[in-house]
Amino acid sequence: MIWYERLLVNEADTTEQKPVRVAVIGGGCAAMTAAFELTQPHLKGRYQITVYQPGWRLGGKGASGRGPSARIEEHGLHLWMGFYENAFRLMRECYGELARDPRTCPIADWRDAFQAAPLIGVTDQLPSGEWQIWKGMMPPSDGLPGDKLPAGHSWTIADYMLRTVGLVRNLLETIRQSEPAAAQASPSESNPSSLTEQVQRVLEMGELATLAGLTQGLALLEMVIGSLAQYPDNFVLRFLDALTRNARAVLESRLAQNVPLRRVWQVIDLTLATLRGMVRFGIAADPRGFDAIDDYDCREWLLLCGASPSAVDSGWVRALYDLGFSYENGDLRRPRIAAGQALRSMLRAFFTYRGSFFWRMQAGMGDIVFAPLYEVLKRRGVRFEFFHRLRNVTLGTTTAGANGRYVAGLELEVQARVRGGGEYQPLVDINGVPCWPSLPLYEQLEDSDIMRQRHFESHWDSGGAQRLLAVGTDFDAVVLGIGLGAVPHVCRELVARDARWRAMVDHVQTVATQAFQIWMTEDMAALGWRDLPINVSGFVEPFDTWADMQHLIGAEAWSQAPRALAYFCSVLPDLAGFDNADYPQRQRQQVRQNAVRFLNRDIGQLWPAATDGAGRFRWNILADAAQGNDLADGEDRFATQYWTANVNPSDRYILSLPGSTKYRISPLDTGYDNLTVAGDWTACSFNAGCVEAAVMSGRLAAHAIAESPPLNEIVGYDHP
Amino acid sequence: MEEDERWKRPTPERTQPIRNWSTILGANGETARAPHSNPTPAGGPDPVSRAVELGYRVIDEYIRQGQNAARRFSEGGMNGGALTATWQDAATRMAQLSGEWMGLWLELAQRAAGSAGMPGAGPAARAFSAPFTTPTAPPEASPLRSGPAASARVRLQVSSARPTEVTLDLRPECTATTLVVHSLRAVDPNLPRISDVGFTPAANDQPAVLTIRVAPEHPAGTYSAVIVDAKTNRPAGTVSVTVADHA
Repeated sequence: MIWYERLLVNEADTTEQKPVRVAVIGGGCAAMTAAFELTQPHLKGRYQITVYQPGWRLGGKGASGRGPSARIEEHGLHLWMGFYENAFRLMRECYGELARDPRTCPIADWRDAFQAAPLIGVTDQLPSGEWQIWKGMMPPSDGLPGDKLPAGHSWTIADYMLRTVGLVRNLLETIRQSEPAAAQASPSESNPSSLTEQVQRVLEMGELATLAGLTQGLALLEMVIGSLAQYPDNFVLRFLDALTRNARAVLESRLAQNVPLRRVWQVIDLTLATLRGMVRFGIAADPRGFDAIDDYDCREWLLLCGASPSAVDSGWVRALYDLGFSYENGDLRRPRIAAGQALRSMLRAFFTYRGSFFWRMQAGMGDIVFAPLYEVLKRRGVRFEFFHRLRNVTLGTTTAGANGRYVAGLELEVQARVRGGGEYQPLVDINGVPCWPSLPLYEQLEDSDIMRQRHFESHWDSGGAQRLLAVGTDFDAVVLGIGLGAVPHVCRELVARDARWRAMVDHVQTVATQAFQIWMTEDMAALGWRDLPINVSGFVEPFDTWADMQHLIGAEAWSQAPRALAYFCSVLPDLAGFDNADYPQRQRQQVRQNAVRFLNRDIGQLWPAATDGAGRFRWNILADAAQGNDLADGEDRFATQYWTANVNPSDRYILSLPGSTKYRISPLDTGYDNLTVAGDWTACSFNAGCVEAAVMSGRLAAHAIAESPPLNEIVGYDHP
Repeated sequence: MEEDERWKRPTPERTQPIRNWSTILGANGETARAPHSNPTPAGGPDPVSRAVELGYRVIDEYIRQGQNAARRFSEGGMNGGALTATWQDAATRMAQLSGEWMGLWLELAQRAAGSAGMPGAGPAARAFSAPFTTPTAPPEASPLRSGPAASARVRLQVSSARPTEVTLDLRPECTATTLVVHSLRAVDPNLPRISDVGFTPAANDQPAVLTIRVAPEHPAGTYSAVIVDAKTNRPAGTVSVTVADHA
């Protein structure tokens, strides 16, 4: 009855009150998600949204553009993981509402937009110095990301432990099956009363001293964890320790000569250490869930839990750090990631993905994600103010003191004005798909010749009239959806006056990233790569991650299509002189040098046929999109490719450093009564830099304003 | 513009995720054991099978109740009374289940201790002992070996205008006829105590009733107190009350 009355009250709110004017600052994933949620049809226009965005395109760190030959130019490498439930749900709703005509648009449905990418790889360096790739085809799993989860669904640590034990057992089984005449043994599952006796027997009788015994022991462990989640810690620890010690003894003699076996053992070792850590640190019973170990670095925590140094240095762990750009200050000697969030990420990634482990977008991220969102939001009445850069946030305080703080004003710089005073129309058609261009559509702008000299997205660019927005006059509420790196620059008063915000910008750090893309005239087989398209992490620096993106060539518009396309990315260490105007250009030059050196020195490890007799990259295989200006030769030919140094404060990638996640501010609790925040840098429960975190944060920001969506509909918000 | 005209965000029902549903209610293996529970029923299922079954039921119940409460809460349909009634109902049911399960678990742990390298085990078993082992109670110390102890069954009666979470931990050996509890205090000594709290002893097959009344103006926070067995003058458990800062 009470619930029903509450519904009636909300209904009355939507029909009788004037709309709440919401200023959304920024056009990245989180900000656009907040706008999407606040304009959901069931809210009946209660919230009137205006998006303020520097430059000519949406996307933030997910922005992309179409360059010469409509080639896709990305901020970096973007792969969606199969556990991005909120992000996929958003896109499925968006494409559903957009209802593109498949006869005219090749990317009409979300299934056109995302394709499964099950092949993953990590690399290991052999004692000889040679790099080897360990490839794995992740099996398809039930359902699709974004499918409605079953009623009452929840994730528990006990369930993760069970699945972890199962994984180790399966890995040991694969080894055992490759050995002749292995004895078959399995625990008696039909009689639970014998469980403790079986545990005792394998401990006493040395039954773990063989592969068969180990697999049997793991089956027993599975039963222990599955049936008695509250077993005494020391009982489970003793058993785990015996398993680990014996597994090491059984396998170690085989490891030196057998590289595949060594890799399997590394996974087993890491997994057993994780299990031991879950028990030893009492995570299953800790109300903080995995946050309980966020003050530890992941590698440090694994070592504490008994993992061997070689396993902690393996390609698997390096891939974890590489995929999250987890290097403090971009320093490759300082790999650091909060253990709790790392564990949460790994368990979600490996045990909760649906459909495919990875999903690849079938065009640029801007085209796949932000153009559809822009179109839907426009239909819903959202106003977009492109070429508006936030310069300052001013605060007000009521007589209620600390509980009555609010955003009083927003100071914006109008970078360019649209001819005729209309709204900027940002999209271009490429092969029937609405896309973002890599440069502004200058013909729509006043003083277009002057505007061509501007770098609208650069932190170092300035110029334009000031525009002041006042609370009560121009906006009622603010969604601050900029990157964390920009917060100290535009929220100076907030950071100076508010200890929580100051602590956040002091402790939650970001890192610059670098990326390059090369288009080649020979296919991957001719370059020496004879496998399916893959994403490889853990490779040699300065570019530790490579993705084969040849599937995108068809979405571009070359007169003579290249045969291969590869994306590379990694962190980019900061240089001195950030405040100097030439900083972005110096960093861009640095990225170019890094890429050229990497191609000459390292790429032959991945693509042996891409190098010449001296082992140097064959520069003449690079395809020139400008076509007709094909003059460059040798290393200079790299200038025809695309590379980026993501050094703008708002473009910097968010880190989950040990001890830092507790300083994040939640969209639900900013301390200001008309302000919420949106971004993967906020306390959104999945405290890592990724699309899923950004979407979760955007949904939380919408909840903070409209109490919609309900918290229990934000998938994974209530996760250990 | 006038301050009261300015739009303000609604107060969210909570600002943090619930990381662990199984601990949100605070009950654990040390909750009271129901008087009718019999860990070693003659002719009944063996302790391991019953522990397995009950272990699942306790955990499932934790999760189910916690999720139901949060779902109703987040839908805005739960006032203070409804919320405390839900917690009360959940706590009572789970204390009962946990109590039964705990007794079985102790017996199982005792078996493991006696046979798998814990104190009293043979040298072969000790050879495999892990570095993290800690001693457990010897078998003769187990209440299960000395016969089932008297145990408490308690009903919660909470009156609060705001969402209030109650956590009650009672030692298995305490009896519900002689419990007393004093005012609940916060860590911050400047916060007033919750003093309207007391036990009504169990009588005539009716469980003891722990009554807690939270005044509407009482500051938000977590307040705790020790429960004392008046007969022995020894601590018998704890009670903790968390009062939310909004209605």
